[in-house]
Amino acid sequence: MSILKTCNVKYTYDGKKPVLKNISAEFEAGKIYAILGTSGCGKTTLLSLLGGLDSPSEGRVLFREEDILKGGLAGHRKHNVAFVFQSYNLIDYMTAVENVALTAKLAPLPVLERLGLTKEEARRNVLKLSGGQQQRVAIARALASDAGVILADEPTGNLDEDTAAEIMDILRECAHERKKCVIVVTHSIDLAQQADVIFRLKKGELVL
Amino acid sequence: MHVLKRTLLYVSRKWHQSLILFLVLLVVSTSVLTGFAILHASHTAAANLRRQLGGTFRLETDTDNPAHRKNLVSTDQYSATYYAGDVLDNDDIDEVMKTSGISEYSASIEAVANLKSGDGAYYDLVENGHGSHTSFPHMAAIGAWSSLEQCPYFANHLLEVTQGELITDDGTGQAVVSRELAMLNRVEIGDKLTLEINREVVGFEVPAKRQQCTFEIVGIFDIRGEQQINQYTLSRQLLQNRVFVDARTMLPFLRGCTEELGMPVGYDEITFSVDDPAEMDSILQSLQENEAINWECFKITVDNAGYQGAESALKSMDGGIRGMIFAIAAVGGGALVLLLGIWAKSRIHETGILLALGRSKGEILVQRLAESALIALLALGASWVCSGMAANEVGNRLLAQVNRQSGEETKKDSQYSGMPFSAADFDLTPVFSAPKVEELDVELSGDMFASVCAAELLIVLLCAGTAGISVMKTKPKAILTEYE
Ligand SMILES: Nc1ncnc2c1ncn2[C@@H]1O[C@H](COP(=O)(O)OP(=O)(O)OP(=O)(O)O)[C@@H](O)[C@H]1O
Ligand SMILES: [Mg+2]
Repeated sequence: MSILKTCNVKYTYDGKKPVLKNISAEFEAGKIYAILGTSGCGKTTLLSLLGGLDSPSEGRVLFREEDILKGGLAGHRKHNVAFVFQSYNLIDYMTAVENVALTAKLAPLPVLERLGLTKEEARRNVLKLSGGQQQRVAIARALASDAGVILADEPTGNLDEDTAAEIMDILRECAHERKKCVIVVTHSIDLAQQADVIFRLKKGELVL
Repeated sequence: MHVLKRTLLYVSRKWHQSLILFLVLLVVSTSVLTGFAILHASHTAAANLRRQLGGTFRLETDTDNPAHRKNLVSTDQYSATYYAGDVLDNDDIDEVMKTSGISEYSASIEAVANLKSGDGAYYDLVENGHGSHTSFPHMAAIGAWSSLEQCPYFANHLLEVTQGELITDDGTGQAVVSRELAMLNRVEIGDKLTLEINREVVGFEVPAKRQQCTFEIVGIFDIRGEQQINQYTLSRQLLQNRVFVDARTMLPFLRGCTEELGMPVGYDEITFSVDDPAEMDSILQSLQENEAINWECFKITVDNAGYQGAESALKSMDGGIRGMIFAIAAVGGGALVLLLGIWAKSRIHETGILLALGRSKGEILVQRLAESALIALLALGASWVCSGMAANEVGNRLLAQVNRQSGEETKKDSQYSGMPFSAADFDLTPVFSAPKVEELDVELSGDMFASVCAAELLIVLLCAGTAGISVMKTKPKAILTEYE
């Protein structure tokens, strides 16, 4: 059974030219998905619709078979999904632990330690961590929120190859061992290869 | 994470911003509080100053009113009239003093009389030192006063009672003489002094049984100022020969002397001082409702000039302080809007993150408000202490100023400049002494603080709320596109 589903989703910014045309897709828990596509093709737009940052111009987004508009988009963001951004988007006046605690339903420190941060690093202000460490904090924040779906928008875009691979491993582990539904947007085919399912976004349509 | 914890984290971690906001709020609230304290104190100062400057009015017989004049002589070439209306006497004083708000009065009559001691012997008078020339060797000038405290000779310290006491309001049958006169006639405190008024003195017949009135000497004065004396100075013009008696006893005596003439003797004028010159109008109004006083024959003249001058000065100071408070509040408010606005802009990213994490806009706004409110409360607490100190400082200065100002007023009133003076042209306008303000309370009342706190919190919350409207406008998606 799918955890997240789109039905005939259309999206347009200007009311004329649609960015997303007719997207119908299903995402299951325990799997990691990659969405590939050229720059400007609408990957981030799709992710924002899945995460309830915006609502589609037409069509519906369902979480566990229920329209996400029903419980409210903020509620959807709070309980059902968690974002991991390319630029981490951590709150700069907080430590790693505090950033994770923002959403945490689980204790932050063990989650951070499992993702490879030391106790000392976990208590440091996030701006004093490396990019890879910051992204781990962002992923920890997503994991600790205990949401069923993790939406990652080019999570390794700012990282070197080795670190990118590590992050990808972590995300895969999230899907396979923690039974999350992980959706990763990327334009790296190499990274996409590590996903269980690869979608391609072309001309506003999603194809396998 | 609870919104209040986020508030504390923000305020403590972004301490530069918090400090700036704290300082702005501290300066604004300290100035506003101090301003209000000064305002409050200036009202106290005004009240004190008012009492110091005092206000007086005179009750006089309306001798010009033709309705009360009668013909004395009337021939073809020549006519003379005299005032035949009611005169001011002791009963009128008592009636006026019943009016609330009137503190003191001063009534006086000048007269001449022969001086006699208790055993009936005439007094010798002190001579002018340039050869006496008087055909009245026992006749002295008599100053009859309700109270010598208001007599300018004593109020201005030209004369000073150095033995015994002054004549005060309740005294009857009392006299005060000079040391020289007392020594020359070997009299002392407790001795009797008789005033005699007969044809020799006034030029008309006075019934024998009404010619004398006896007083007891209660005080002896020394002369402090220097008199202008030359060969033309009459003995009775010398202050050494001047006798002061109480007016309450003197008036009926003079009346008795002139009764046969049908020309009543009264006080020409009585001066009353009021507790608070600001109340002058209402005091006079209630006074004029007193029907026991014959208002057809008497008129009132008000002297409130000192008070009115000071009042307008204080009013303009008042306006200045109000303007200052308003300006500070306006500038502070502007700075607040600017600061909070700029900071809110710089926090769009943070807002986006919180929104993406599923925080509601309301909760984010609450955090903003809580942050500002927390800092505002700290600033207000500190300003309580600061303005307390500032207000004390200001209070001392105001006190000094008030006393200086009223000191100048008193000096202006004083006629005696140290130059030799002549008793003949001495102005006998009564002088009412003013109490000195010992203490000026510039204090911050709890009420005042509470209302400033409420106003400031309201303004801060309003500013933070306005600035936080950007939160409401932020679309959570913006964070994905704008900050990637
Ligand atoms: N706020 C916006 N208003 C109008 N047009 C927008 C807005 N955001 C994105 N677009 C347009 O929508 C299209 C899809 O944008 P989107 O950000 O989803 O692309 P993307 O696939 O994520 O690209 P990239 O790989 O470069 O991040 C683009 O043509 C972009 O110009
Ligand atoms: Mg994108």
